[in-house]
Amino acid sequence: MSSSPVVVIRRADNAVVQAELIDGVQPRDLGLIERVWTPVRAQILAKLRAASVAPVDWPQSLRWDWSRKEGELKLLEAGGFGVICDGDWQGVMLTKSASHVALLASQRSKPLVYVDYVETAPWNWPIAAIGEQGRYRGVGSVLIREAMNESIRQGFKGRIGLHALPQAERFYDSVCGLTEIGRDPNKQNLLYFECSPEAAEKFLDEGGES
Amino acid sequence: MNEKRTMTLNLTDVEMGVLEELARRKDLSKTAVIRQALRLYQTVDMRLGRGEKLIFEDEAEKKKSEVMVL
Amino acid sequence: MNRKTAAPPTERWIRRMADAEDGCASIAVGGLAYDLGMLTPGNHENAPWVFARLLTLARRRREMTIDALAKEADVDVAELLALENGDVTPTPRTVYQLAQVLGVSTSKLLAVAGLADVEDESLKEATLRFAARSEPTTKLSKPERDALEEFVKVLVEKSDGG
Repeated sequence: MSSSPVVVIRRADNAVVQAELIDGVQPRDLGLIERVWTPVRAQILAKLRAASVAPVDWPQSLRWDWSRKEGELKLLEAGGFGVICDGDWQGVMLTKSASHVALLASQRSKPLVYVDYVETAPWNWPIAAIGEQGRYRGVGSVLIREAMNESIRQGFKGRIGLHALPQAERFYDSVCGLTEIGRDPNKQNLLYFECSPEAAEKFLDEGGES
Repeated sequence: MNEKRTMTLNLTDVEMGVLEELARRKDLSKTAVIRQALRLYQTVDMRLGRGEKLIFEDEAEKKKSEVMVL
Repeated sequence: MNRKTAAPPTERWIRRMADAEDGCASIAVGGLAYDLGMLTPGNHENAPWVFARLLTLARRRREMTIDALAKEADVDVAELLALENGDVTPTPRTVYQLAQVLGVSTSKLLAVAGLADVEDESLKEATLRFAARSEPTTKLSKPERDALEEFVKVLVEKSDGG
């Protein structure tokens, strides 16, 4: 487990704050994370119901439980990354490096870092319907950036792949500049994205949505 | 925990040829290829151990064939 | 490209990304909750959630209020509300009533509601496909309509159970 400095934005005062990027999240960390996140998920659920928000419009990762992923983290090919700020885990990401190869035409059959799951802490979700703005911004971007870094470290030149939840499609498409490969019938018809080494370089240097 | 240890790998000419070809096709170093192979082997072994099956599917021929059974 | 990993993100980078993130509903990656055991313990019924979505969309497609649908289907308004919130599993009678109003096969709707085993592979797939397609809008968008139509098509095909 290693940690390096990183920055995120605190929404309340729009300040850039120091945070830690963790490489090597441990199985027991996932349990700790959910002990803190699960009650907040429940609060959000209660507020959504009180506001009569239809389940269609709920945050799609609302019912996740990271503690169920502890076993997967033990594999060699698994990578666990997170962001800690203000004493709390603000986001977590689980990656795999050997179970997927690139489908993108220009990168066909080359290895990539597959982002299995990524989520920011429930208190960071902006949910207009219940008046929640989210506490920290940029956490997800920091993690996706790290997926590309991990890809570089493994010799995969920045290639990553992921299946986006429907509410996140726009983020990966327009913001991160990933390429839509297509809907995957083997994965709940979610939209599958990849990036080439060139797109990764652009994202790392410039960020998104130019 | 992340210190590296060195191992000498003795491969036949044919095996070395395959390793070099994979490294070329995958745009990886030979070491990276071996590491990928190890990760894949562990993952496959773990999932087979859970009772899952590894299957190749040929959509064109509408055929499925099992690759490995415990 | 044989670059080394990127230096830590600059302030400019993070501000730019944070602004871009704000324009998006979510950044979450991974399966929907019932995929590969991501459900919180005790929340294993994905069926009420999918059924709830189907009900809501089908009702809105017909531009009906909950009151109106409850009346037409001769079911309790309170129960219908709870169903659309994914709070409860419907009773078989309610499923039967709703199947009549929505014009779909009772046995298939029972399966979607979690009251019967989903033996039919194509129904299983159709259910997952439908559950995966959603957009956070109050009016039915074209993709939502398409998703609903596609799913209803499968549900309408009456199998032996009727």
